Amino acid sequence: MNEHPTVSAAYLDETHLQHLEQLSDEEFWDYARKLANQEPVAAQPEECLECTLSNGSCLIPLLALNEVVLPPHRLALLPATPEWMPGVVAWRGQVIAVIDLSMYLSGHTLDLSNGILLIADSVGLALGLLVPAIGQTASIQYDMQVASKDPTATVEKAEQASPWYLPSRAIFVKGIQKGSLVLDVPSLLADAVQQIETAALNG
Amino acid sequence: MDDEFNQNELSAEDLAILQAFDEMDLEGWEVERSEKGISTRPLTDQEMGIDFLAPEELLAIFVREAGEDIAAIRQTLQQLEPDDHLESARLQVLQRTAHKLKGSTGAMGCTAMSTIAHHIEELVKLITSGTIVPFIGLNALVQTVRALETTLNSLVTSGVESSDPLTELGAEYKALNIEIASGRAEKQALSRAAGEEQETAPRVYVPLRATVEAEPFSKAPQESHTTLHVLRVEVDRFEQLILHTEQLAELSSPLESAQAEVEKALQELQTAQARLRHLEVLVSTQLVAKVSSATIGPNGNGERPTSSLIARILDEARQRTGQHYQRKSKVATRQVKKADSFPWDDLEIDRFTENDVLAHSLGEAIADVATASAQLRAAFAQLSRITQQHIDQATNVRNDTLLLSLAPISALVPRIERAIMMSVLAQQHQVLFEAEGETTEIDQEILEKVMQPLLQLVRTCTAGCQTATKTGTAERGNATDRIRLHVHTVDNEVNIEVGFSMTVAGGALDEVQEAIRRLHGTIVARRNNLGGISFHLRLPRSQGAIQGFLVAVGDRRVVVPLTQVQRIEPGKENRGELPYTLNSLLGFPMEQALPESERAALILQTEGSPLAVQVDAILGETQLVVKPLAPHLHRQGIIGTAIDGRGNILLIVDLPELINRYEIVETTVKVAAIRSRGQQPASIAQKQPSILVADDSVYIRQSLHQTLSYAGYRVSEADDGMKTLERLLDYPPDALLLDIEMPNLNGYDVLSMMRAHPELAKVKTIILTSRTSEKHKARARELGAHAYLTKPCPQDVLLETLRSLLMN
Repeated sequence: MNEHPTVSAAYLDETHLQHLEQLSDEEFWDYARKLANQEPVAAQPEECLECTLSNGSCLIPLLALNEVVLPPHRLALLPATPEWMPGVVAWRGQVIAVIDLSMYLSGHTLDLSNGILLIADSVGLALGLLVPAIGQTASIQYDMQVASKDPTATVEKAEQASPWYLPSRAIFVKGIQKGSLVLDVPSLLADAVQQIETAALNG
Repeated sequence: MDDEFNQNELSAEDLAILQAFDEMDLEGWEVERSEKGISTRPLTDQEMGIDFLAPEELLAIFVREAGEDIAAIRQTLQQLEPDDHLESARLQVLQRTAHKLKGSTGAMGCTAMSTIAHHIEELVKLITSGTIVPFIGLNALVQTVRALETTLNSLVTSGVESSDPLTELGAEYKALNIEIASGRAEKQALSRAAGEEQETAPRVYVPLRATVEAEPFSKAPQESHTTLHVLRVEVDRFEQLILHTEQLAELSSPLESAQAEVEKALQELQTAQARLRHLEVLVSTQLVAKVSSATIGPNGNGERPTSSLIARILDEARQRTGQHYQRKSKVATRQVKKADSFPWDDLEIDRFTENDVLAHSLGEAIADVATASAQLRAAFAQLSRITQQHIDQATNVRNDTLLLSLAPISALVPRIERAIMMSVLAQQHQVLFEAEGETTEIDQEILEKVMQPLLQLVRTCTAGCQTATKTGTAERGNATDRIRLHVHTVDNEVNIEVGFSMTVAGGALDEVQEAIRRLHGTIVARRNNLGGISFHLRLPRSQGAIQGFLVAVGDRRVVVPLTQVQRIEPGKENRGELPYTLNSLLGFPMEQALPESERAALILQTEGSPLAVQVDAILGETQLVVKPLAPHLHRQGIIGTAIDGRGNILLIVDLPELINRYEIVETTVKVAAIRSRGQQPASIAQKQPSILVADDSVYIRQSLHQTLSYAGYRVSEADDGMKTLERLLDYPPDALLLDIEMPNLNGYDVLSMMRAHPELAKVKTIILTSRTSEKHKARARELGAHAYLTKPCPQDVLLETLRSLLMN
């Protein structure tokens, strides 16, 4: 039992399970130690959902999304909210804020009556991102975005493109891939929550 | 006052008094008045109907009041025993009285006395924080009071206060190793005291003296209920049961919605059925006409029907009867005319034309539809009955589950009794505590959450009783003070009255109001039949559910709790005052709103003049489960949300709170607009706005009364918080000058109560206090004060602030 099938940390199919069941305790722990000492595999490409906005498009990491909700949406207005917050919506029994993503990023909006609601989650706080339309999913190499020095890399630095978004929103753009903004959703949600809270104080 | 003033007749003492008043910058104030465009001619006493007090009279008032305050401080000091733990309740009394004295002496311009009074406040803080030991602290307090007395005497005898006692006091402090002015020590003491105030405020531990003369409290009513069998249940499981029960109850709405949809479909089916019947008649008539014309026409012979439907019906008839059908000629046509007169018979099919068959088949199809429709209706009736049973049962389950979480209020009684027993009040007077309706049940969680606020209310009210009752005791002799707890239920609410027969210390309401609000309850203060003050708490009997009116605001729906509404007025009703509109209060767009004449109005529960809030329509009454909002979604005037059967979110609104917010925003916007345009203030002399001055200091009230009357305002006064509130409700003024430290209800209490009375939302409130910290300013702003001024306040600042606020 010196040779073990290559096992990805993320996937265990039936063969692998059968193989593990046949191992003695000692063999199992040897195998576990070997796995633990392995060099980490190259970073997995991050799957993102492409969203069409009023002036451009953006990519939202699928890991940040809980659900994609199709129209119609039953939005309810809440007093004293930022202009990019069209209201609140009920999702899984709780009331969550909805952000018009186009308005939030660029200050412009489109008709959202047939928009798609993306439920995003950050540290247990869910918010809805309302976008006019969604497209395909795309893979981006997250590591390249951070480390690449190659100007021809697929992921460009955000500053290199002519921004259609508000300058104050640049900090929520991790990069640009094929013209689409790759959004830093947790930071964006944190900022949105803070602004929604502040809007209540300002009346 | 009618005698003409002659300055030459003034004595040296009078001149000294006048000098003190000169420091109040009356001249500058007059210049200010003329500059601001206000009538420069002072109104005469007759014009204003006011008897102005002479300076010496004002001084006499001040001296008498200051003397009383000093005597009260001395009396409290004598009751303090120099043991290891000075009683915190008595120290609070000292601090409050000193604070009041600081305010009145400061306003009078007696800086030495004001400073000495401030020293008493600081000494109490140092003692409370443990910076100085009680024995030394008590000694320092005695010296300080002596300095106060000496300074007041100097003012009385020479007309000018002497600063020598203050200087000597500094030396005494040094000898006692106390550094009042030392920044570090003071800051440390302050911060420590502030921190401890936060932490220990709800707990006032006062050891019960062995020498208490008070009658023992009336015994708490013994548990009247018989022994109950108790089943232990894990809290998690119980909460899960409640959750599932609520979900079951929430299903009622979608079920009713689905039922309504089915009923709607059934109605459509009936309509279609009626149309078919009508069609049947038309078809029969037209076929008869067609057959007639065909018989008369040239091609009268039998032909295959043109319609495939007819062909199919004929084929079916043939299959049923086994006869080949042929069109009849003239004979048959003649029979058609008779067809209506005799019934259909399958065995005599050949007597009928194809049109008869067609009409008959159509009739049969319609009859089939009618039968199906009737069956469906019967099934629907059965479904409705079962649905109703399900909803009733779900309600029963929910109510039963909620019953599990109820507990009697009597659990509170011993703790309230104990709080009273430990109070300063109980050590000085006979106190009778009575409880009524304590077997009333309320949700355990609410009971638990309301426990501390209620105890805090009792402790605060009974803590400062010495000052509060110093005159009252004399009037009442040895009468027993009474405190009562009356509980009763109204619908799904529990009303708790905590009543006192004596004047109580202010501040209680402000401390507990937020906690009560979080429980979706309200608290108001009213004068009671004991001659004192009662606090009335209204709390929901159980958590989660709320009963309210479902109202339309444009194309949106919101819920107004029933407790906020006194009555409903339909549209077209002639309403005197222009009502608020819910759209405006919520800040929602108005595009969908109906004309004013067609909108219904909710008349709010108020103690003053009625207030109306217009809505587009009142859709009915509803009971919903409240979903609390996440902290970032909290909005003033929104209690929470509910989700209806279709997944719509309904806002549950707090109308009084919305009106208050609306008025504050409107005032701020208007004042800012006026200031930005640089408008000169309009003359107020013509309009004579009314001002209510609320301050427990006689001197400050008199002083402000004169100043404001002279500036052309109509002035009324109140010397405690309860009277202030009563005056506000009886005669709402244009503006309120409000002190913070007052008996019965303090300034914050009054502000809190004003928020609960939307009819007072238009009253402009200026806090006038000697409290200077940002914490107090922020609190006042938070409670809706329009301006915050500190004593002693220059007259021009006060008048300018008033003018700015009253201009809109």
